[in-house]
Amino acid sequence: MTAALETTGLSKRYGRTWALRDCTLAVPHGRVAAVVGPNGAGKTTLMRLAVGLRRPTRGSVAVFGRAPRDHPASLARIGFVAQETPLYRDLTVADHLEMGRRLNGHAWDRPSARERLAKLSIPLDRRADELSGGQRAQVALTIALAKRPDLLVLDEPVASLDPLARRTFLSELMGEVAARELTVLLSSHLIADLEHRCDYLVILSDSRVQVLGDVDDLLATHRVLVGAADGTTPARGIVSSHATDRQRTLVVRSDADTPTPPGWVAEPISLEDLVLAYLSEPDAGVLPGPEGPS
Amino acid sequence: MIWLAWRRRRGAVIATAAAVLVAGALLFLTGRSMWNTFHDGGLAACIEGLGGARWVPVSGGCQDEAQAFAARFLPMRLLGLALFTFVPMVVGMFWGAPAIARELEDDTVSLVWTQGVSRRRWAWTQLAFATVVTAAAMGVFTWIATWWYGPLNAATGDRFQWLIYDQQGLVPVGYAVFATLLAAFLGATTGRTVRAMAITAVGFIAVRFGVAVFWRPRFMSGLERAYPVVTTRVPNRLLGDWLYGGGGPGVGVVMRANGERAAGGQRVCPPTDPACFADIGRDAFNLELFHPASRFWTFQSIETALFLALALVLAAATVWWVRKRLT
Repeated sequence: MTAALETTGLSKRYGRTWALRDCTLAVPHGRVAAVVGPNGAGKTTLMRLAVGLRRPTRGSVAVFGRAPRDHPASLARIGFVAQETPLYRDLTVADHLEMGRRLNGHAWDRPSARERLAKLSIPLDRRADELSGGQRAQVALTIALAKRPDLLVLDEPVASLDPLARRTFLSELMGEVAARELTVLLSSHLIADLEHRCDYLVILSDSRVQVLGDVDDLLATHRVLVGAADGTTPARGIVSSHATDRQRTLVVRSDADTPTPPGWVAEPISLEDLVLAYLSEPDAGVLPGPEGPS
Repeated sequence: MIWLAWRRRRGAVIATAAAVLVAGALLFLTGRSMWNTFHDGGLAACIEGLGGARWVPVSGGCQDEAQAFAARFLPMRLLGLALFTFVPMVVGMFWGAPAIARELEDDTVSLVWTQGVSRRRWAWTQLAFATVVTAAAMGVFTWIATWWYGPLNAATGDRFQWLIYDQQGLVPVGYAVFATLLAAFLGATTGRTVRAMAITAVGFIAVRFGVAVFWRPRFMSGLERAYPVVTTRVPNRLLGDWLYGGGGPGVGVVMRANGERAAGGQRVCPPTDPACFADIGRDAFNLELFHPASRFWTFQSIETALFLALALVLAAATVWWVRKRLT
């Protein structure tokens, strides 16, 4: 089966700077994929390439098997919410829905869009520049969902929201994902928000893909080891190492069958710790090889 | 798509319509007073009496009446010059520059370009909407301005002159449409509304100046007219011929009988005053290179078509840029 999103050697250069280099990945259909990475790592570039707003300098991107830029029809299958959730300032919420209806034809799901906004008590006659950040994000998400997309691409949708609005937004999103067959590509640097919500992980670092894989697989193949600061460290598989005066914490690659080295206590790893370990060590990486994560 | 353009810019449409209305009302009031003086002061009847004669007596041809009228309304005419010259540029700039650039600045393109319409259709609609509004606004304004200029044209005969010609007839609409699409193109390429406006001002003035000064006189080959220096009749200046050659606007040259250039300008000497022509000889003659007044609308049509063609090229370039280069 075709992946929802597939890129091969995807690269984008602005002037003399590479914003994304040699990005090869495939997000299977029905997954919620998180794209994380430091600022400037290429997250926005990857997302804009995925929805056809940018054209690759090299390599290719395919959404359900077709290049989004050259096939406007495949745009109909993509819902996109850009960073800062841009809306037309002078237009009301109702105007935005009407715009979506006029620009998308019969695919447009007006009743469910109105229902969503009513549930969130966002007034339809409010102008976009009078909405709060959370409401703007919700309106943008509503427009993206009303297209009934098969792939939803969200670029830092919660970055500007307070914790409560963030939670509301993400649980709304997860509700939609549960309700229909939907692939999501979601970028964020708030890793805690992604825990238990994403089942696929892409870590970008310095314009390259650093880690790529199924979240469950990644969590199963990494552990946290805690030991004395002067203890002997295991020879292989160390992703990151942090020491205080008395204690050293390692993130290592090893599955449940690997025996814990003597003098160390093994703990399961959280998604946040896993991401932070890799972000702190840009040279370490996990990419799917012929035998899966290696 | 058109619905979206209208919805987004209806405030600006209303403001533009209001500006045209106010300007039109001012033109109507001042224009009516000019027309009244033109008729009541006898100038209209005097010009009527000439019956479009090509030649008039040296000290006749309603010149005194016409000069009195022109002098009286000179401030009005200068005001018109100052105001109207830049109207097409300003209207075009304010409608064209934001058409693409504002959406790039606000990143609303990432909203609208990921809906179910192609960039090509989006771009053409943006451009068409801005163009239709500027053309309509400029069309109404120019129609009133053309009426307003009526008495001044008749009293000065310089309807075909630089800057006066540029403010009536058809050309202002062509200029405005050109300014709109120049601004839209610059908005798309720079991605900045204000920067696009600034560059538009420079580019627009350069193109307008170049066409008016270097190209317009060559739209058709000019006619020559010679008449003696010692004469009792001169060409009827109120007809509105455009004397563009020689020493400057509205000026011919004075030639010796052997065909040598004696001086710029015009000289008219009564036969009874030999001192007047002593230096150049009795057989010296005036020579004028001119476009007859009857070519006014031909020239207007050619120049309007030229600016509309430039605008079309800019529109195509803008759409191409939006599709291929905004990546």
